Order: sequence, then C-alpha cells, then structure tokens
Amino acid sequence: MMTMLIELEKVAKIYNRGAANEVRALAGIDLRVAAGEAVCLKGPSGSGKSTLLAIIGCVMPPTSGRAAIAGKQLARLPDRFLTLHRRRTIGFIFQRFNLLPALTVLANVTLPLLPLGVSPVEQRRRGRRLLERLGIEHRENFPAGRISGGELQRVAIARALINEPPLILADEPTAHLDTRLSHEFMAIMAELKAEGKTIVITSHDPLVAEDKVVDRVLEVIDGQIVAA
Amino acid sequence: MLLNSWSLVLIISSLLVVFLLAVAARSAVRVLRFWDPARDDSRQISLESEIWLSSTLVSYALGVQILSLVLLVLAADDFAAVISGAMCATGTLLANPFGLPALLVKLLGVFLYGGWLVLHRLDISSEHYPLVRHKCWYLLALLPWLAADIGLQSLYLLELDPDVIVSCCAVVFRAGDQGSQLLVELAGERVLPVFYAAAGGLLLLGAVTWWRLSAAARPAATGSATSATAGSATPAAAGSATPDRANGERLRAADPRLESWLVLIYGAGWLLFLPLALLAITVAFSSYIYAMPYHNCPFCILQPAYHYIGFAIYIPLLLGAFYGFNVPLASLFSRHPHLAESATAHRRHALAASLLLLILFTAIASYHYLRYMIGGGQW
Amino acid sequence: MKQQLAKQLNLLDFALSSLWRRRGKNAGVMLVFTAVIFLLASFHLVTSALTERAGEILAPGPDIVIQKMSAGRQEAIPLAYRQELRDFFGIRRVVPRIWGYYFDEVRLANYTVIGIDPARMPMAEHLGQSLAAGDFPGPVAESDGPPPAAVGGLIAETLDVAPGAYFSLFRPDLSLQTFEVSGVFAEATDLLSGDLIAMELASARDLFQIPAGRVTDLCVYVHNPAEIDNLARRISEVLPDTRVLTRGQIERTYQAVFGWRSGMAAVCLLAALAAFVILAWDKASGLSPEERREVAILKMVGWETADVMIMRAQEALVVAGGAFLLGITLAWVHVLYFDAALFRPVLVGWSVIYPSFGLAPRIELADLLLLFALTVPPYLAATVIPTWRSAAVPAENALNE
Repeated sequence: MMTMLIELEKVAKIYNRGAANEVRALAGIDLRVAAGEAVCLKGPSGSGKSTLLAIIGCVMPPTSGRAAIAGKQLARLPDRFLTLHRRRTIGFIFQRFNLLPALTVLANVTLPLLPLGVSPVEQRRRGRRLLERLGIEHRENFPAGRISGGELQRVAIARALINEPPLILADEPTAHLDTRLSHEFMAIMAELKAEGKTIVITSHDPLVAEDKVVDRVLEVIDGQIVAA
Repeated sequence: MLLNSWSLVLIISSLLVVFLLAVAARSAVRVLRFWDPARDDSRQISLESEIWLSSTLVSYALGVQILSLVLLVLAADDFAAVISGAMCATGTLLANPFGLPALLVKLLGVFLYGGWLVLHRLDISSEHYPLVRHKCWYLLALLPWLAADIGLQSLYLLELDPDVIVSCCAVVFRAGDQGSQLLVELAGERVLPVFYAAAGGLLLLGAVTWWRLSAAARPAATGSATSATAGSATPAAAGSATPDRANGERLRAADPRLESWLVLIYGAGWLLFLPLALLAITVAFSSYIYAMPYHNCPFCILQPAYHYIGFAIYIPLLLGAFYGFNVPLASLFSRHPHLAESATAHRRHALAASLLLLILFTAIASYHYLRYMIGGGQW
Repeated sequence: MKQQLAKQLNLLDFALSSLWRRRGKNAGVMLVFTAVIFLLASFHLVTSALTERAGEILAPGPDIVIQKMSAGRQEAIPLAYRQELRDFFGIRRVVPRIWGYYFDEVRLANYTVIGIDPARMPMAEHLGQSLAAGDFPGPVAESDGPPPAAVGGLIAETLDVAPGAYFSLFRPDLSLQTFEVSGVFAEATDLLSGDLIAMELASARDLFQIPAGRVTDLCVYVHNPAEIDNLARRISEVLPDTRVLTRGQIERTYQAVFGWRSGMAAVCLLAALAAFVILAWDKASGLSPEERREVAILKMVGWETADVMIMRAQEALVVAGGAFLLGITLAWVHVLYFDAALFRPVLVGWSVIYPSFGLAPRIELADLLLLFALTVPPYLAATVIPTWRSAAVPAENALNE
C-alpha cells in the first residue's frame, strides 16, 4: 500500500470571492501523488499552475475541497500552522532561485534553520554537508550575488534540502538554465527521487517532461487537471 | 507639578500605552465583527495577520506599564525633595488621595496585560485559535482600566502641591496611637510569624498540587486502565495488585475534581499571600534593610543606597504571584478539546516557576532579618 | 527553553546583518536619535548636578534667616529684635549679617556683598577655607589702612586685583570707599563666591550706609536640626513683621526653580523628540521592493510572521539601544568636560558674570530609567506598525515573480 504524500480532492481556489473581481483559479482539482513519485505539471500561464503549486506547497489553504499534504489537512488551517507544516515538509526551488544576494552562500542555505533554534555550529555542519554533496563547498563564503547561474541553482537546491523535507517542489527550474545545466538539474532530481523524496515540478520545458525521472505528466488547463 | 522631567515621562508613558492599546482595540473590534475561520479571503487572512500586531502591541504595552510602575515610585521619591515633610516616596504618594490608588492600579495593570499575553500564547498553540474572541473581549475590557490608570496618575500629578505638608513613612507605618498611620498596631514581630507560616503553607500546597498533577499526567500503574474511579479495578488489576498497591494506585489515580480544587486553592493562596508579603516587607523586613527601626518604607529599598535590593525582592514576588495566578487560569483550559495539551504544559511550568520564585523571594527578603537575628545587632 | 534562546540569538544575528546591509539608512536614524538623547540627557544631568550643588552650597549657611518686611518689601531689621529671641530654648546663636548687591556701573556687573562678623559666623570659617590666596577679613583694627575684603575669583579678574591690592566702591552718597584685597576665593567655589565680596560687618554697614543698630538679616543657628521648622514658626509668632526663611525652604525653592526651568526646556526638547518619532515612523514605513522580496523569501522558507517581527523588533532595539548608550555617554562628557556649554544660558541666573561650574554629574539607575523611558519606548512604538506591515508580506509573493 503506497503512502500518499499529496491528496487533493475537489480542491477549489477562488480569489476575491463575492467581489466584482472574483477569480476562480482552481475548479475542483483531484490529485494523488504517492511518496517517492515524481510528477510534472504543465500548463499555460493563467492556467492555475502556480496556485496549485502554492496549495501543494502549504503556502495558502484551498477555498473548498480536501487537501492533505504529508497527512496534514490544510483546509481552514491558519497561516501560522501552514508555515509550521511547510517548514518541515516542503523544500522549494524557485524559478529565479530567490536567494538573498547580500548573504553568503552558506548563510542562504541555512536560512530556514534560524527560526528553528538550530545552533550556529550545527547550521554550519548541515550546510557544508549539502554544499559538499552538490560540489560547491568552495563557494561557501561568497556572496550569493557573485556566483554563476549553475552555482546559484545548486545553492537553491541545497537550501531546499536543508530541513530534509520529504517533498520537493520546483517551479520552472530550468527556465533560466542552458541545456547542460538543465540536465544536471534533472540528474540531481533523480538522486533525490532515489532517496525516496517526492518531487513535483512545474515546467514548460520538454526536457523536463520527457526526462526518465518523471513518472507522470499532468496538464493544468483552466483550473482543471487533464492527463497529458 | 507637571512641569518636571518625571511628570513628563510618566505622562508620555501613559500616552504610549493608550496609543498601543487603542490600535490593538481597533483590531479587536474588527476581529469580533468579521472573524470567520471558514473563509480564506483576503479579509480573513488580514485579520489572522493582525493577531501578530495585537500581540506585539500588548507586549510593548506591558513593557511600558512595568517601566511606568517603576518610574512612578522613582518619581515619587524625587518629588520628596520638594514636598514638605516627605522624606521619601511614601510621603509623596500619600500627599493626595490619588497617589496610592494610582500605584495600585498600575500594579494590577501589569498583571492584567500579562494575563492577556498568556491567553494569547495558549490561543496560538491550537490550529483552531479557539480563544480569539475571548482575547478581543478581554482587550476591550482592559480599556476602562487603562482610563483609570491614566486618570489617577494625572490627578495625582496635578494635585501634588509642594506647600502641603505630608507625613513621612516613620509616622505612617508606625505602630502607635497618633496621627494618620495606615497600619495600626502592626508591629513587625506580629507579622513575621504569620508571613513565614503563609509562605510555608503556600509552598506545601504547591508541592502537593505538583505531586497530584504529575500523578495524573503519568499513565496508571501495571495493567489497569487510565480512567480513574477507584474501586472499579479490572480483573487483571485485581489479580495482579496487592491491597497496598491498589490503595497506592487509587491515591495516585487522577481525580479531576481534587486537582481542580487544589489549583484553585493554590491561586487563591497567592491572592492572599501577595498583600501579606507586601505588608511584611513594609512593616518588618524593610527596617532591617535600613537598619533603622522607624524607617518603614516599602520604596526606599529600591534606591542605590541599599544596593537596589528592592528590585531583587519585588521582582520574584510579583513574578511568582503572576505565575501563581496562571495556575488556575491555565487549568480553566486543561480540558478544552483544542487546548488541553498546551494548557496542561503551561500549568505545570507556571506552578514550578511560582514555587521557585516563592522560595527565592522569601530567601532574599529574609536575608537582612536573619543576618540581624543570627549575627547580632552590630556588624 | 534552550531552543527558544537559540532561536532568539539566531534572529538577532540575522537582525544585525540586516542592519549592516542597510547601514546608510540605519546610521541616519541612529545619528538623529543619538542627538535627541544627547540633548535630553545633558539637560537632565545639568539640572540634577546644579540642584545637588545648590544643596551643598547652602549646607553651611544659617538654619533660619529672619528678614524684616514692610509693605511687602524687605527693609533693614533692628538688632534689638534679638532680645525677643533670647529665651528660645533651641536657639544656639543669633548672628547679624549685612547682605546686599552692588551694581558696578562701569563694568555693568552686579556684585554680592556680604558683611559678617568672622568670629561669630560659622559661614566665615567655611568661606575662609575656600580661599585660594590670602586671608578672610578679620576684625577691623582701628588703623589707618583701608578695611580688608575677600573677593571672588571672577571679581578679582574683573577688577584685576590680587591680595594686597586696593579697589574702591561707591557709597550711596557717591563718596568712595576703598578696600584692600585680603584674599581671593578659590575657583572651585566660584558658584558661590565668584561674584562675592566678603568683608567685616562694620565695613559693609559703612559701604551701604545702613544706620547703626540695623542689619539686613539675622541668622539663626539651632541646636537640633529637627526643630528648625518648629522654631521658625515660633519666631514668626513672636516677630510678626518679619519673614522667617528656613534652609529647607530655600533648598526647595532652588529645586522648584531648577525643576521648572528644566521642565520648560524638556518641553522644548520633547518637540525634538516628537519630530524624531515621526521621522522614525516614516523611515520604517518605507518598504522597498527589495525588502518586500526578502520578507517573502523568509516566509517561504519557513519563517513565521512572528519570527520576522521579532527580528525587526531586535533591529529597532539595537538602533535604539546603541543611540541611547552613545547619547548618554556624550551627554556625560558634555556636562563633565565642557561644563554643559550648550545649556548654561538657560539654566544659570541673571548675572553678567558666569562662573565655571566644575559640575560632577552623577548618573544613577533612576536617571538612566528616566531617560530611557523618555526616548526608547516612543521610538519602538513608532516602529511597531511599520514593522508589522513589513512582516505581513505574504509568502506567495515569492512565487509570483
């Protein structure tokens, strides 16, 4: 019996409900992703892809429907508890990496550990271990604003992994990378999947959708999921 | 006596607290009107976000209130230089009918704001935020208190007249037959035994409460179910237990009513102990600190001349009382479906903290007295 | 508990690095804040030090001073009034004194002239000990020489005299009275003696042409200081046409005047504080897109709103705390080493001659708390709402690029 890490049932998201500028971003999404699975979400902009990612990522609760991530029900969960769950469960990799350029690479990687009360010694230990694994330990003390695109990507991955989350979400990760770096990225995803992590990637890039790591490709159109 | 650095700082502090709590109250009104956890719209998100603003505002207000309490005493002490007859804060606080009430209202305000913060901490420990409305009403109920605080303080400062002669503490707090003393016929010798008995009693009560609460928290012994009616032993328990052990289990078994009574009595104990302790400090301990039998002032011990020992005495006392009151407060929610765990944990911590602070307070307050008694009058 | 502490320290670390990253803006705020605290603290320290000084100076003075009043104004008191006080039990001594002001029209300066009997007046001993050079004028011998007078350091400077030199003053009938400088008071006592000319009682009587048998005040010294108010009351009953001043009353008047003056100045400085608070609000409110992005990222990687607020509050505390410490230190240096040069005109009296004070300001916990409460909480309160707004940036902003 597979454990379901992501269980969405008739999930809807409506912005500005009741107002003149009401927007139905998601209309009754059903989605089940098992632990250890890798899924790719495709779809044009405005399709609700980002909203879906935000709900899976415990960034916002659904308006209606049942959403459970790693066993936790998200509906009617206040922001504080969404955050507490998110910090334990989700590792985010953003399209533009979203690092703080003035901070060093190591400081960026260990950012999620600060509010957890992890000691500076332990922070450095965990951070260095990840940087070594990703082959960028020599950039530890460089300001993040001064390293190359490929290295930025690895720093972003390291930050996403620092809390050892079971679920990795990547939003258009290869949008600003060349082919070589894109392949490197997918190789790292393959390693993570082999370790048992669950992966959800949103991407237009056929390189991603067609990679052997991806178990399923789903298309999001007008707030609904259509199997690709 | 408004044109004076101390008066100005007291007025500014009061205005600050008004500002902080007025903004918090506005947020509270919005929450009461629009709070709906079932909704996920921007207004609900905004209200959830305002919780953090309110809690920060009340925390700051608490900080300023504590500071303002200390400032009032220091100000009164400073005014003693211009008020005839007053030699220290006691005289100036009694210079008009508003001084002492202003002080007491401020002191109580510290407890009330602290109470709100405890409620807030319990509330945010649950995903359902079950106490949101209670917190809002509590906050709104604080506003009249705030008005009283500022009103009394302002009246006190306005009515302070350097030309009116007041009595100093030696007259006010002395046992005797004349004048305007407050504490008639209360010699230190009579108060101290009562004080120590009360402290000991409270400590004992706290220890018993701790024991009962710990027992209730532990799973029951070998085999029997955790639910607690004595005498309804299951066959397994009956088979394995000797009569003594069964009795022991019954003693240690959880009895919610007993625990409720214990925590309530413990809180009430602190309610009685606090004024008694303040009295003991005033009529007994202080004169040993000053090494002067007729200097019975509860405020001069805060001065640098006495190494600020007053702070070391009052802080554990007031903090201990605060935690002591927290014990029954937390108990109110220990069976709440969403708050049981955090309320029980908080109750335990509050009980432990109040007991430790009680011991600390008693030790520090008694130090000079014991030193005199044991070491003799001259040193 | 340990984890909570570690969390606070981590957030503080981030707060410090954040402050450093925006050091330009934060330095500006801190500088202005320091200046405001410096002004308030200087003022407070000066007034406390002056009040204490006044107390010290008054200490060797008489316990009670009796002056005759007529139509609400002071006039010379007959020596015969001493007879009425002969039977008062608690009085140790009643000593006559002539105390007046001499206006030097050439130099447009007021000098304080005091005529006392050095053998009988305890103050003389105190003043005598304050001499830097020479002697206190002793009893006037029936010799030809001009009578002796001890002068304050500032007068010696103004008149350009030293012990042994001569100077002259005009009597009311415009005849000249010449004096010989017997001694000069030490600079350290300038606050009391700077503009003082001390001489024997008879010389002062001659200078002011006060009739024989009268003086300006009678100084009363008592056995038991606790009885001063009691005796003062009884004296005023026995001598109804006099004004009876106790030392305590004079001290309180100084206190009240200093307190009043410093209160006035404090009100003005509070305007500066208010302006600063508005500045602080304004600066804190401006959230740059960069800052918004940073908060969104923090929220995204698992920081709660409360964590961001704590971090920002720590930033504010560091700025306020740093400004406070710096402001207090500068104020202390200003008062101690520069004699509170910025505030003297407001606080010091109406004379032309300004002594240097040599003030030794004392900073106690009470002073620190007063100044802290006046400055830091208003700043923190001004930054609360802007801080919250910046912490309330939603995490999904990080997703929407």
